[in-house]
Amino acid sequence: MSTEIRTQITSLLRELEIESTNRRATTERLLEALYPELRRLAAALFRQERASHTLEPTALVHEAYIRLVDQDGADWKNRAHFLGVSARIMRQVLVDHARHRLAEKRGGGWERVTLSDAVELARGDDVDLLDLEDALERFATVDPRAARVVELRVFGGLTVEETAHVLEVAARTVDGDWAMARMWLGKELREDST
Amino acid sequence: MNPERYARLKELVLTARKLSPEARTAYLEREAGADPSLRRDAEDLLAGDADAPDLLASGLMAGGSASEVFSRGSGSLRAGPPPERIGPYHIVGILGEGGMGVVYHARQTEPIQREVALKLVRRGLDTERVVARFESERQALALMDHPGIARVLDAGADERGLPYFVMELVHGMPLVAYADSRRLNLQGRLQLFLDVCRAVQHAHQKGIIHRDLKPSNVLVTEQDGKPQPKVIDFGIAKALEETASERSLLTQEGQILGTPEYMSPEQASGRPEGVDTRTDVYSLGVLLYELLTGERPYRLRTAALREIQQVIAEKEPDRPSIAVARRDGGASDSAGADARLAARGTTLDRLRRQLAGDLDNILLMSLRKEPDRRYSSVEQFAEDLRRHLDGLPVRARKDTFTYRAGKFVRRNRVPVAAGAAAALLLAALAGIMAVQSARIAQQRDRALAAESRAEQKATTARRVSDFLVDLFSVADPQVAQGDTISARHLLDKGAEKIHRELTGEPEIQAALMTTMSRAYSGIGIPGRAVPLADSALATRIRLHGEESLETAESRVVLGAAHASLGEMAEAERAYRRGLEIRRKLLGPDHELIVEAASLLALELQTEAHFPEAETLYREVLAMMRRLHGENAREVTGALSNLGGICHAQGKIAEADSLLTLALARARTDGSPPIALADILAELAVVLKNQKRLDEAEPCYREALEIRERILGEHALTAQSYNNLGVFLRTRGDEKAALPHLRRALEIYRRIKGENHPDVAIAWTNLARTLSALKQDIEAESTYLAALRSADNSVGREYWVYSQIEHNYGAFLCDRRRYREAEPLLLRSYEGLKKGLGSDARRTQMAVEKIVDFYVKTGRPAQASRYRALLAPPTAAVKE
Repeated sequence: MSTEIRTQITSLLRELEIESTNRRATTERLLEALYPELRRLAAALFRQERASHTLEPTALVHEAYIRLVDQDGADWKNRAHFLGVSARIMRQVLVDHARHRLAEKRGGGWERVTLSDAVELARGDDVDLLDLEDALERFATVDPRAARVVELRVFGGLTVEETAHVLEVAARTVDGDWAMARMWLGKELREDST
Repeated sequence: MNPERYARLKELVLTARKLSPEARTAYLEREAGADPSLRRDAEDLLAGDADAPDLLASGLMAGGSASEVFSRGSGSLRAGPPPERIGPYHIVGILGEGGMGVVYHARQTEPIQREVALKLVRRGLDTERVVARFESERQALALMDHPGIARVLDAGADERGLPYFVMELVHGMPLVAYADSRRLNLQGRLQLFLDVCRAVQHAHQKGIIHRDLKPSNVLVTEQDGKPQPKVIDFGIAKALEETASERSLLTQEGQILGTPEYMSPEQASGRPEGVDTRTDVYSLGVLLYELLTGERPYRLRTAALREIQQVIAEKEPDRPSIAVARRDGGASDSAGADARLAARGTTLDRLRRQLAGDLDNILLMSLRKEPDRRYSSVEQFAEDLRRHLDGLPVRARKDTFTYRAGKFVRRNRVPVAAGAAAALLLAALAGIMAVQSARIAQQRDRALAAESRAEQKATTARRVSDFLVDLFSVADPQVAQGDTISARHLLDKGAEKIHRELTGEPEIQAALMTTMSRAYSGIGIPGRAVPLADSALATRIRLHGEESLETAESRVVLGAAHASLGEMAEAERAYRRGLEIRRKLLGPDHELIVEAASLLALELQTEAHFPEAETLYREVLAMMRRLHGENAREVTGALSNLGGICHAQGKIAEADSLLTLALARARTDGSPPIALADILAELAVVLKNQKRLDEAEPCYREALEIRERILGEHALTAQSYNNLGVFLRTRGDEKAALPHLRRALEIYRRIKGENHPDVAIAWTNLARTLSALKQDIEAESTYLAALRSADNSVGREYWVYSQIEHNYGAFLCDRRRYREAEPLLLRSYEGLKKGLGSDARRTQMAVEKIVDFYVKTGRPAQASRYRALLAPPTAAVKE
């Protein structure tokens, strides 16, 4: 991990906190800077993958956070933005990987992605990543903000408060979106599996 | 699914999931009975809701605001599966979770069998004391017997030593959610609220104050189809009071947990001794505000403790009739506003009309900052509401304009002489001018105030004050519609009026423009100040000629406007010309010459043209002696300024004796405390530079104490925090330095914005301390923030930028990041040399670092090349 990247990321995160005008552009730059790094981290994990191994995206993102920003100086808002951007990348990386494996028809090689305990979209069962992805894409056409809440919480491991900060809405709104999304996606996924 | 249908479904589901199964069925029947497919969709979704309380109802805690999220970052909020029992209580299930902990549905078997709610406080509190406090309240609590109060039955500690409270189990919905779900209109809401008041009143009669009233603490049940609000948690806040600061404010991280919006100013400022029944009046006011408008009186957009305290202590809430029309959050918010109206069965216009007037006044009276100015009891509050419902006149009145203007002036800490309205208004303007951000700006204003006095003597003074009186009275109704006096609004109005109405009276127009220009500089909108001063100047040149006192005045004011914009060259030019004219017309000694000379000297000092500034200060000192006599306070001030400029040039011994003399004089000659603080602050640095650290420290602290007391959140206070922080760091106590430096940065950023040299310097100081504490990551990002702020304010050509660049370079060098460090070190040296001269202390230190750098990187030739630039040791050691 080169120092320049760390410096750049740290400074972009700070910009996101400080500047309110250019958020979109700054987020884009952050995304660009983070993408290769996260891919590399994920790829390293994929290489080690074993049949029994389960991959938790949020753990990966948090690990990336530790490697790329270092906990020492950054505050929770920086962290929220970092995780927020990473969530999108992580989702992309994981889905790409899963599709790739599926295309290779090496069924069974790809372990299931475990979504973190706090999430539990469908009761008890692990959710198949690609099923979730499909359902989430459909859901995004109905309730884009709630879909983004899911992305942040599931792939980034953000708390309600962090999610609210990133989306610039009230925590109460996130709560509602989250509850709705869980019910909605849970229903879809149950229907899928039957 | 189309958007409308989805929105409807979401609303249904999110409301229904908080209800008990029976209430849910009834709710869906009522809301979606006519649309079976919608109802089926909702039921399908709800069937998969993992969180729905399936045992029972109760929005107990669940309805509490989500911002009460208890723990952050660790993912799940659940502390694991519920325990089987807590104390003697069997746990049946979870009712809800909130900022304080978990609320369980529990069963008591001994001595009687009953269902209860058990609230486990999850914080690390002093359990013994909490329980002891509860025990001491228990008798009083037992006296409460009211259908509107849920009884608190017991308190204890669980196995882990966490305190818990046992309460009567209430199956109900939180107040606002209930009113919304029943679509209660304004009248229905007021009736419901009056029931809450009766309950709280009953408690007050028994000597119990709630201290934590909020919608989630008022649950509404239905008995025989009639709503019955029940207030829960009585006595709990009191039992937890000892730890009130931890309870509500997590000071360690500067983040607030819990719901600070309902907290009264006396609670927010951490004065539990100031809590009485009127604290509950306030919280009830917040609660009614939300019940009627769907909004809270303040939008706390921050989690920072100081900011929240400040908002609660200072910000006037919007009038409810205005708050309901607020739609500033884009589409989702406007949907929210529509939902709020629908839930009240009304339209925006109608709701606004209903709220405007009495209800606005009643609510704002209950929400006043000072307990003495609120309703003195819940009884009175309720009485006024009943009078309103009965169409009788209410007691609540609008805050008077005089009161608000007075408060405005007080906030700006200017002594107001009682008297004519004009005096008050002029003082308000002076108050605006006094809100200044830097020492230099403050001194500039002090000098300008003298001019203001001179101006008042002029023939136009009467006309000017008439105009201002008129202006304020015109503005008043507008102000009354809004919430607070906006100085900017008044000035804009005034500027417009001047242009419009006074074209036939150019002399008065010019005088007023000059005044307005000063005021704009004062409230920190110098951009508007310049054009006003410019056109006043043009008018006056036309009327009075170039060489007139009027023209000179306009030049000086124009200089001040440029100076507050940071346009140093323009400021300097304007001051010089003003001084020149005044010398010619008034010389040799005159107050107005003193003023212009002092302003020019300050500007030159800012630009680091120290020798010329010193000459001017000496001249001013001599003039002051001749004009006022040796023992005058003015002489003390001049001595202190001269001491400052000597210090700036490294003439430490002379600075020391001048400032010591000024300090001794200031302590006895009645100089204002602020002037005393200025001297102390300067002297502290002088002493520090002589390594007389033990003498310096009390000076720093006394200066800070005075500024904190008199100025509050002000640039000078920030400067004192900063200097004390830097001092502690140089003493080697970085840990103690850190909070002072953070506080300094916080104040600077708030009052100066991100892009200001003082902010850049504050970042830099923080960065250096962080780096000393080995917090490298934050240190580095802090340096980058400093550079950005400096780049965007003073630009890269100014020595402050170079100094930051140097510090960052040194930081990198110390971390062996030599390749990155080198260009920074070299470039910053050039910048410092250009800005301050090659012999300046800072430049010399930059050279030393470069030498050090080349030694470390093993390039002796380069090292000796730079070593040659170092001044001889005797001169390099500045006394």
